[in-house]
Amino acid sequence: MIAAKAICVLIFNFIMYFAFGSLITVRRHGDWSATLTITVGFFAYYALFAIVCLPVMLTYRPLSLLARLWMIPCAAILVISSVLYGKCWIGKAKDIAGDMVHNRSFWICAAAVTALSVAAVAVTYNFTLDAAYYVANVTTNVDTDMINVYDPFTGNWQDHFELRYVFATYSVNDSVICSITKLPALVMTKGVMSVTIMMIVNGLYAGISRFFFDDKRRTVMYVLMMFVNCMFISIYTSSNFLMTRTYEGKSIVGNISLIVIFYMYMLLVSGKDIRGLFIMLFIVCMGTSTVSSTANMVIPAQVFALFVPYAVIKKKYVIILKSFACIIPEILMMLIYVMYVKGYFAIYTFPR
Amino acid sequence: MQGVNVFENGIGYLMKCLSLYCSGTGYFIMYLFAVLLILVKGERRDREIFLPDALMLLVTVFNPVVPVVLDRIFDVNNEYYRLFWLAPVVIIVPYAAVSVIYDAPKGAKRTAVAALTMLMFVLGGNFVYADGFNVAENVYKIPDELIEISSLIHNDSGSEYTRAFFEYEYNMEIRQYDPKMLLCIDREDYLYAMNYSYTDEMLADDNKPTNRILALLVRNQKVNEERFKDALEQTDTEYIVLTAGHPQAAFIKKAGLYEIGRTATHVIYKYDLDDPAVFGLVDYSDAEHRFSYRRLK
Repeated sequence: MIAAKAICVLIFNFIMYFAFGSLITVRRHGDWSATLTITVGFFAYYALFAIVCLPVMLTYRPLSLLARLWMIPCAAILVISSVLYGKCWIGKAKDIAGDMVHNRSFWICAAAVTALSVAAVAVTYNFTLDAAYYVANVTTNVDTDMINVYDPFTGNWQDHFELRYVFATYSVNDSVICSITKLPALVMTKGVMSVTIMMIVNGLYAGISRFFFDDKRRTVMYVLMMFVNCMFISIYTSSNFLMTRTYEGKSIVGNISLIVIFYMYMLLVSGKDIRGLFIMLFIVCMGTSTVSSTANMVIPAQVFALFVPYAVIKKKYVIILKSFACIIPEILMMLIYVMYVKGYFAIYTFPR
Repeated sequence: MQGVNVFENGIGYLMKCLSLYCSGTGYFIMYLFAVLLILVKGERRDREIFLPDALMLLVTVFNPVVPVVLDRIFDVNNEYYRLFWLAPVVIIVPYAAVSVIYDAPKGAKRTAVAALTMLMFVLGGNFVYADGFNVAENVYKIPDELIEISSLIHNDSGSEYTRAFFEYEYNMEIRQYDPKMLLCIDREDYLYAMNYSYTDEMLADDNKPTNRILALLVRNQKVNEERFKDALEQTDTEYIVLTAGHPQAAFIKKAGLYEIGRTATHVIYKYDLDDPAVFGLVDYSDAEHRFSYRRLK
């Protein structure tokens, strides 16, 4: 029963990411990427979730209320997206099916590597200290029907919100899903989300390897990308986070956000006509800032390291402004966090 | 990064950080080779993609002065390594490898180059499952024994919430499974006691009851029996779960705790509190639902 529920939530995740992403990436009369749609949709989903979640959390309303509220935009976006882009989805599905026939070896290999990596993260046991916060926070939220007001480590009531985590509402979404589906938090986080993240990462690797090569070399590159993740292991590398702490926000930042930003940059450099690229980049940056506070440091650095030199080399200085606009969410979060750490303010968990 | 800080190491911080980050793997060196390869032999598109980024990273993230400057504004000691994630190792190394392999003439030479490349990938890395493929015991991905312990305690307790002490791994894992199990020691305190960030003198500070619990059960320091029981009373700790054969088992039995159950490797002890607390959730039903913050400066 738990396994069946977990599979349903996994499917639900991808449907929602696809619906959210379609509103941003799908072009009715042009080419669009299913990989980018899912990835950008993933961040759009968490960005919008944060907007709905924060007012509920900061006014001490219950998790169950948030769960009910969150169903409204989800249902609305699913309907709107289906109506607007249903035909495009069918067209894309046909294109992918055709591609599967023509590039059978690549798809078989991609399916095998994805299945192996997904199975690996789904069944392995890994002890990590950070799970004591992230997973326990989900169980605590569900148990208390409140949002982030109890200390996940001990279960004690907290006087004020811990700002390092308060804007990273990604794990609150897990709480919402657990609250609705009654799926155990450990299954949701370490099972469903690990598989979700690993599948998105594989999708991105497939997209990147196909960007560089259009023959059998792309299959080799794709396999090697996953192989590097299995070998480039120390407790600090993003590959280690992917393989052992897949569901954590930091893993998403290191293995999805940074990679998809690089992918977008590759598309920009190659001159491919990707309309709304900087809107997608903004969504990715904003969504990432709601996934982990690590984003506040690495995302601005990544955006600047990639897009500023490009703007200077190509003398397209407007790109610098666009890049800066994309990282405004991170800069705001960083400022708020620094003010909190320096002791300028506290946000209480009870009205005073 | 553990044990490395900017203040002590200055501009040497970056190299120490990188060395810990790579931990004996050769992938970062492969990254540098891949960048050089693209510089020398890459097509225009590939140069445009990889080289400006590599140069930017070289003058920023991998500049030894940068962490020193940054540390004056933010505390970067623990998290600077995450900036190393910006180097697209996972993209550029496989890309360069494929280019090298397919640049070799077809046949035996290409096979040899491919074999050598794979050998380099294998020998230059630490395999993620080098210590074994640890399959989870159950769908929750926590030890079966922990689930058994949780059940034994709740069956004994009779109240919805109860407070307990667990040893390291179980202390970190129990609340992921069982939110009704409150803990007397939080993660940071446990870690600081375990890695001696808390000195003996700090733990000897009698004002904090959790110090006495940590001193006895984590550091095996001498603690007065009455003061230990007082710590359990003050923290409302009713249960202590220890590995069978724990060096303090005799002490806690002498202090009046008694065994209420055991699993394959753990023993659960109970302490009868003089005045057991009834834990409940904070009542928000009458709370005014408004944002509440305070400017402290």
